[in-house]
Amino acid sequence: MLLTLIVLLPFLGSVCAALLPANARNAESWLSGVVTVACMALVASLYPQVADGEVVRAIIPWLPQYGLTFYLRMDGYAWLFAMLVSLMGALVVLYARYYMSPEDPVPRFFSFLLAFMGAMLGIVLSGNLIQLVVFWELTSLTSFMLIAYWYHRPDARRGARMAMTVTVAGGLCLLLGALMLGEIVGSYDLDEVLAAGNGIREHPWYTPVLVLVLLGALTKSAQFPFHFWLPHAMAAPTPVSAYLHSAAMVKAGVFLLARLWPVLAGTDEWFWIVCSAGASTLLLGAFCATFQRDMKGVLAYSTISHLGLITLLLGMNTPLALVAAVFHMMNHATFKASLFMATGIVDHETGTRDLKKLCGLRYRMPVTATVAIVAASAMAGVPLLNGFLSKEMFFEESIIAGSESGLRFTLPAVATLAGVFSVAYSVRFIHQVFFGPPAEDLPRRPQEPTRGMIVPSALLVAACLLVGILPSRTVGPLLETSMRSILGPDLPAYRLAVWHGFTVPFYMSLVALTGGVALYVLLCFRKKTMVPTPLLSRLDAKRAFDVINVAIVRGAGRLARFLFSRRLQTQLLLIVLLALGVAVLPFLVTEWTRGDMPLTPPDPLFALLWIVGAACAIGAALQAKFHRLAALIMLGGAGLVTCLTFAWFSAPDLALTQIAVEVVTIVLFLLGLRWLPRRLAFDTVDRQTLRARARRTRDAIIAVTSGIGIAALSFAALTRPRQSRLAAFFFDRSVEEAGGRNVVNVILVDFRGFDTLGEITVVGIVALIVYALLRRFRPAPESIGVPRAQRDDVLQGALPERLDDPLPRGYMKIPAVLLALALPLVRVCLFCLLLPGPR
Amino acid sequence: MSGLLHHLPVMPIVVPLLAGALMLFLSEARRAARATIALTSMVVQLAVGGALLYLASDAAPHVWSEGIGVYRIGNWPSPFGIVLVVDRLSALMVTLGASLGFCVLVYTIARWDRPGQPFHSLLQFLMMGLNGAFLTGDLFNLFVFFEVLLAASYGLVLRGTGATRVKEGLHYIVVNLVASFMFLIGVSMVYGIAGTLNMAELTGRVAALSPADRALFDVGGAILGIAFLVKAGSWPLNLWLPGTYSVALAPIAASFAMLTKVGVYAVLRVGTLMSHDQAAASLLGPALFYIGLATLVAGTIGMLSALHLARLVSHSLIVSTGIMLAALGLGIESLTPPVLFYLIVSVLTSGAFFLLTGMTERTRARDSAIATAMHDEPRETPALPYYVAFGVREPDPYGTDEEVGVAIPAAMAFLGLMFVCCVLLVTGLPPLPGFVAKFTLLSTAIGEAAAAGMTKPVWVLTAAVLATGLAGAIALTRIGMSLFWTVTERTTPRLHVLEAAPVALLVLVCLTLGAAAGPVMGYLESTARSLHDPQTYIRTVLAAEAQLAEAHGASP
Amino acid sequence: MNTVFNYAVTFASLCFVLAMIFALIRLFRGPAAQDRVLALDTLYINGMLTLLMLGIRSTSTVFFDMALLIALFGFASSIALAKFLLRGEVIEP
Repeated sequence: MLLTLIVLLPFLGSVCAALLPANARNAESWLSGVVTVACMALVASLYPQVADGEVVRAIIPWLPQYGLTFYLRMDGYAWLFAMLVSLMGALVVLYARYYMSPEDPVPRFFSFLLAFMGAMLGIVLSGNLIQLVVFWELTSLTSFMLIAYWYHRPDARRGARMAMTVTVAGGLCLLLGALMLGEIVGSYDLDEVLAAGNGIREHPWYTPVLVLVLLGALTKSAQFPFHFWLPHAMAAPTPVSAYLHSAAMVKAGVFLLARLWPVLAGTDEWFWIVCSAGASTLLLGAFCATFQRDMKGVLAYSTISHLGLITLLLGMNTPLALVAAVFHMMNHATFKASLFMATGIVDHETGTRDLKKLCGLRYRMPVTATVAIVAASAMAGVPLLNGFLSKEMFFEESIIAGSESGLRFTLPAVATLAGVFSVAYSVRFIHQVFFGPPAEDLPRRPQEPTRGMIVPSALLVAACLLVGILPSRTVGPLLETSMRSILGPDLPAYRLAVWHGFTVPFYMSLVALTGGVALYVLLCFRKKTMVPTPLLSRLDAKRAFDVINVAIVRGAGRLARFLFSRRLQTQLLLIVLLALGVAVLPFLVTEWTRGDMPLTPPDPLFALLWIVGAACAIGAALQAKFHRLAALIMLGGAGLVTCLTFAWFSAPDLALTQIAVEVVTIVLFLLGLRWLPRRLAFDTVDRQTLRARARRTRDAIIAVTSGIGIAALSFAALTRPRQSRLAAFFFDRSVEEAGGRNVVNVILVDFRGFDTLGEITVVGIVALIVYALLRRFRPAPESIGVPRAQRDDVLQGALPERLDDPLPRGYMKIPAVLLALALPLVRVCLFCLLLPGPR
Repeated sequence: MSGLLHHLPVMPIVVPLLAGALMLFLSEARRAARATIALTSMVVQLAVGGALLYLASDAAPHVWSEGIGVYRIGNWPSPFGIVLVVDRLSALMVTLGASLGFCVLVYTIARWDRPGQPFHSLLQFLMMGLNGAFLTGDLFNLFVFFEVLLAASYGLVLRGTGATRVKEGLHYIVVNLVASFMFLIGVSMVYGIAGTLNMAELTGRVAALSPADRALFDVGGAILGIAFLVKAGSWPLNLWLPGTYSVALAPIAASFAMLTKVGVYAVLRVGTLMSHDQAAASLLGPALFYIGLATLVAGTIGMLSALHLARLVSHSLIVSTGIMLAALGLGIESLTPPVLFYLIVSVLTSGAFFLLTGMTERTRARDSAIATAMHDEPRETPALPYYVAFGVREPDPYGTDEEVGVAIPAAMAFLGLMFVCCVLLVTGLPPLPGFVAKFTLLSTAIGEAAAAGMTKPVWVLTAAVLATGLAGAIALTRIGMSLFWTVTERTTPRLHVLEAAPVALLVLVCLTLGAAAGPVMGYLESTARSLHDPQTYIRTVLAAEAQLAEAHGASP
Repeated sequence: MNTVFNYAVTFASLCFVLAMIFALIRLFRGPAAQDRVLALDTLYINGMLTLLMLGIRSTSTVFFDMALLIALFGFASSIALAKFLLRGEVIEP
């Protein structure tokens, strides 16, 4: 219950925050503060249970059929992270209260910040893989909204999209990985997954699963080659950077790797993929960080580098490395968040983060300077600070893992080199901002910030110091609990201590420290501290992202124009061709046979009649494009022959229907003909080009084939003896039960009267539409010319010149009179047919 | 069995028919009266849908044994007369259609229905056609109701102004007429060979056909399938769809979200009734899978290419069809419940999204709104006859002559929130039910792949489904940013409560479905079970025949 | 029914169908739209007469009803076409 509350509380807070008015900065902060502190207190209250090795669980069934339960589970490791997330959350809220300016619409900010916190807590407390993915994607979405908080800035928009694209894509890979993992284990339940390590590692799906999960984790943790989004995400407000991009979200990837470490690690694939990703990120990040101009850029790349360090540790396949990794996650979160906050203070107070402009701030901001210096020293791995401890462990593990894997020198060398760079950029960061002569041309006159901003940062630095000096008293038990929950009884003996003696790692640290300072001095001496990153400056992720985006839209547009032709002809051609194709398909297996009913002897008269009809039909098809009126008249001829055919085979009702339909069709077509282009000459326009001729030939072939096909089908169907018992039933029942002698009529109005109702409705609807169209579907009279036929009459003097004038008397009188007489007659005839009804 | 209860299955057809006809007699000025009638009819349909849903769930076995209701029109015994059959699937579809219809109706009452007199009637006829198509147990009757709904949709699609709209509307009409023609050919082939139109009886008949007859029957079935696929909007039979849907007025496009699902429904219904016949299944299966896949890919490319929201949503509709068809084409029975879940979510979401486009278009400046209406083509010279189809002008968002009605506060925030929800639903990103649908689909498919070893298509589908989600997210983010986050030229629209509420309602229904995914899935599983074991369906439909024949034999 | 009558009816039917064929030729060749309209009208009349012959042959009265209606409808369509040719529109506002 408490667990559910921990996850639920931030989301509730988020909703409340969204509903507050836009300028309620204090109310928002209080609300968020209360929520975060409450979460922290709840997490803390669970420590006794967790410390006893117990796993706290909360299960709410959601979709049990598919193994999806809402399952929260807190063990030592999850506790550690939950604590980290809620603690950082509280500090960031406090910081943000003073960082955000009164003009900013804070409800959005705090709402998403709390939602993010909820999602992050959801990740660390998830006991179900799928649920973990749900929260995982949720962090991507909230981070998108937070990065793009100042959405009027193009860099914020771009950064947000970049981050979201990469992390969502990774999340989808992770989803697939989780699905496969669940399939291997038979459950998405984390307990069961963790218990099934051997089965997973020996499963044939192991490699794909590993790759997919790693894709998810490495994108989230900004590992090479997916690291490029993180520096661009720095467009976010600084509290967001401090929270999401150093302490919480980017840790989700490494968190997951450590979580699944007992299951996935221990193989060569794991070692090589994870270590190579980690090592390359470590070096690349450290190298790039040394040459950044933006303070946040330095921190971003340094974050990438530290995450690479953690990944490298995780990839080493030894329990001790895992311990070091988790330890470093904590340490990095504390000092990096603190540095981000310090950067934010500098930005807030001076109006710039440009290392080139900033100088000598320690005179005006001594407290901030102190805090930042300590934090940066932790980042560099200076003794007596927490960074030193985990770095020491890292060096040690790199030696061990290196000797085990045959990379005896490479791994330690990489580690030391990264250490050198890390020291160099830390020194540079501090030296250029806080030392030197006071800067003159800053946008704002710097001064010490309000206490609210400095306190969170200072608290974190105090934690760095405490952990660094008394590791086993402070963080020791927590780390132990958490590691025990991952490794269980396999937890190796380790010692958190400041002083291990003169060991190789200590020398490596020494080399890194001196080397780093030396490197910085060298760079300063050669005035190369500000140049764009050597070798890599051409690889501009920003431009590449834009170019790829545009390319996608353009390429997809081109493809879509091809795939979704806007021409009606293409569509109809495809439908007919496809129908033709599927109709031919069954006859590839079975032969076409006609039925065995005897044929009626041919009648020459009827044949002649049909020649007329067929000629009309073909003529109509030929002329349809060129001389529409002629085509229409021919259509009338074909219709007449159809009607005669029905009559010939004694189906008077059908014949009547047909003739009525014919006439209505002609009239309606004539209505439309008015708006169609005038005739084209049959021979001149379209026959010239070879292409047009080929197209027409193709169409003719398709038409003929389809016609023959339909004819063959109907012939085969009609020559088969009736198997239906329907006809017999209808004949039996129509007189007796339905009370009608004409079976067809009885079928229409009784047996299948429902169909008739539907068809009448259709006719009614169409009539309604046609009526509406005739009434309204007209151009305004002044916008169009007079029809040509009328103009000719005007020229010949048969009609008045102006449209409004009345027509001459007797104009078209004869047809009018005749029709006036004939139409009632038609009505009477139809009524006569109707009266007897089905009888 | 009480009288009303007995006639329940025919109500969803009769009620809209009567309501639609009644409204024709009201003069144009009486908007309130027409709105009342239309609303009453929709509410009744919704209620009937709910009742059918309840009865079909086998909760009241004394009314319908085994949860299948058979309503014989004219009381003629089953294969001879026409039957309406209510099972879980049809009850579900009726309810779904009524829910969407209700929301669309409320939305249109806000202002979209003003001058066009037949609009409400046409919407009711559309509902009638939809309900009839879902309820009927007779192949030709299915055709008739297809015609009803198509005829109504022809009228609806021509509403609004602009040459592009008229052009796309006419394309729609022509293509669907051709499809109806195919349908008719297919039905007559089926009847000519099998000698029955009753879907339940058909199943038994097909098995008894000789191979030569069988081939002919298959041709009929295949042509029928083409007609269904055109309706469902599967590539390459859907080239008309994005254009038509994206230029239709927003509420009309929203109601059309249901139309594509009729095609899917028909495939599912006729397909499962035939599927116990192995030959048909083996022929249909792979083809359906590849068609679905092609649709999915084409729709995804379309989504990426779309420059306007409405067009993007149309493409997402295509994608959803593709996913459903491809999943059904795998021939794995346990995939049906997720597909149905996906169908529900997709209908509600696309409906909400289309309705939303009607409001977001208003956030743009006037010029770009016109450009949107003209679509992403270069501005054509307007065809000289300035068509005013039905005389409906698009409601002018900039006019000050706002009708009475309450505008909602924080319009942009509301639109943004709804937009984000719709995006999540459409792309199937967590945590909204679109994700639940995709997750259940993929997890079942992968499970079957592991068990049965037919892995390749499953992996292809899985990858495609995930990739299309990502592509959708990318495309929608791009469009959403340009809609909401471009600083210049944006006007904050006034939103009518009646417009905002349906969108929110649809999204809320989706969320509820997601939260109650367990029970919903339970219902869908029993739906799928009864679908894949059509014997009960056949027995119930034809048992009525035996019963009645006996009664008839005894009475004279 | 005697043989001569039978022959006469058959001969008449043949003539009507031949007339239809000739009308068809006019229908195809035009040249003016008016010619085509008249050809259609002729087609209708001869079709109706063929139907009458059929009725006489089979001694059924149903065909007479139909013939009447074909004549009427044929006339109506000719009028519609004529009006289109004269006015350019069939139904004027």
